[in-house]
Amino acid sequence: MPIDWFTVIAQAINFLILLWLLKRFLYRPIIDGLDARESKIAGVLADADNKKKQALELQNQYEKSLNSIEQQGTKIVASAKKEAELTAKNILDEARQSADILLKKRLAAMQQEISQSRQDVLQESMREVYALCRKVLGDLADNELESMLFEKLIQRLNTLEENQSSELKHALVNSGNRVLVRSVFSLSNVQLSRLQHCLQDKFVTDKQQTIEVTQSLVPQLITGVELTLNGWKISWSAQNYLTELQQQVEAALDLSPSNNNTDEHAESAN
Amino acid sequence: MHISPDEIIYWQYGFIKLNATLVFTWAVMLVLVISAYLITRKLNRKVHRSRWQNGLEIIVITIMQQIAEAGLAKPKQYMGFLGTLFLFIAMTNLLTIIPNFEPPTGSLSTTVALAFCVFISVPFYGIKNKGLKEYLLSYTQPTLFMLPFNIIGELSRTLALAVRLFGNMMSGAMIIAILLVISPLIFPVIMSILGLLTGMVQAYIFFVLASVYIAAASVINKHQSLTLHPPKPMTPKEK
Repeated sequence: MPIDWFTVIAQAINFLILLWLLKRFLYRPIIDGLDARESKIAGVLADADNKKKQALELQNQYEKSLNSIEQQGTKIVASAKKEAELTAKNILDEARQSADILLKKRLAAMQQEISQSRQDVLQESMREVYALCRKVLGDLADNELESMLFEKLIQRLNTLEENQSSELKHALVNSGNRVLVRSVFSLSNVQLSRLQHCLQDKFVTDKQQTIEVTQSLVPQLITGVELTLNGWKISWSAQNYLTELQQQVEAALDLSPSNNNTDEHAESAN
Repeated sequence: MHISPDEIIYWQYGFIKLNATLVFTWAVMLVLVISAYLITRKLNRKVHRSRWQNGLEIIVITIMQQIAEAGLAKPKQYMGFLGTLFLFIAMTNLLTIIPNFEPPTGSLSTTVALAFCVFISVPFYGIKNKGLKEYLLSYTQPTLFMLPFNIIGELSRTLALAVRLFGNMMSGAMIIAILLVISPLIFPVIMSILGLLTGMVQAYIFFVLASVYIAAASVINKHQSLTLHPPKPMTPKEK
């Protein structure tokens, strides 16, 4: 096996030439291409990572904003619910109030109507009673009854209390000692002079002054005598009895509309 | 019948001769360079690439991985030398399938030249990576007594590289030639297939051994200093 040293050297040179050529045409372009692709892929991966991070950040942001929006929405819905409930409550309250007012008005009107009708009935019945009483008293009234009533008036004047008698004295002074006597039947001169003397003796301090008594016939009194002077009145008549009777009847029946109304108000408030 | 393609001489002028070894070597070189040029001419640096480019990339990446596995940290640095060794031997052995092709690796001159290149590259890369002093000191490891043996080892392994490749390739070519004479039909085909396999294996062995030799010369050994302390005197209690 001879070794041809020329061939050995030539082959070594050939190998070195091949090495250079392959480096030039194979390894460098391929390795450069691989490096370029690797760097590109690394760049793409880094970009993808960045985008992923950004996407995650965006996702977090959106989730946060969604949560806040949901919370706001819940708050808005809750406040809207509250407002709606409040509004409904207000509307219902207003409706109730207006219904109450209407009801009260209606009740008041009904009550008024009832009381009015009751009053009307009462007044009508009273009127009938008065008319009947007047008729009876009118039928019974005569000079004898009138004189009895006159006597009662004289008796009342004599038995007046201290304050009433002082008031009468003042009234006499203020009226200039003028007294008006109202009656159904005309009084006799004797009766008038008795009245004058009674007043003169009992209520006039200055004996120089005389009391002037004038008479007036009033059929509405039915029967009885009435003494009036400067807004002061003392009477003894059937009209007075009837008025007192009417007042007593009204008090007993409690037909005063104002009283009824206040009671109803109290009930509605409860 | 000839043992080596060196014996086939086409032209000679003094000691300069044009034998089959050189001619077929140039042919292999042309095939390698032209195919590399044609493939890398329209190199695509994007993700999508041609099948040829993909094949070349696979070859280059595989070679780099093998270099890295041999223990060399920066495979790109050794890619040119070791890759060319592998590709040249592999292509040469692969082309034996072509009739009348004389493989240059079947010549002892070629294998000696390749082994000589490895023999030179080992100290070159060793000195480059370790420094001259450190590299030369590696011959005295583990003791100075080992220096001649290390030198003999260096020379003998280079010779073994050359002879192993030559022997395998020459014997394969010889067996095929003999079989063609004896039974020209089926056996030569089988033997050619086996020859291809042994050729590839030889290319791989040559490349791996070269990588290992370079790695052994290039890797820096970190010596760990071990300090021994004398034992403490024993106290009466311990006695």
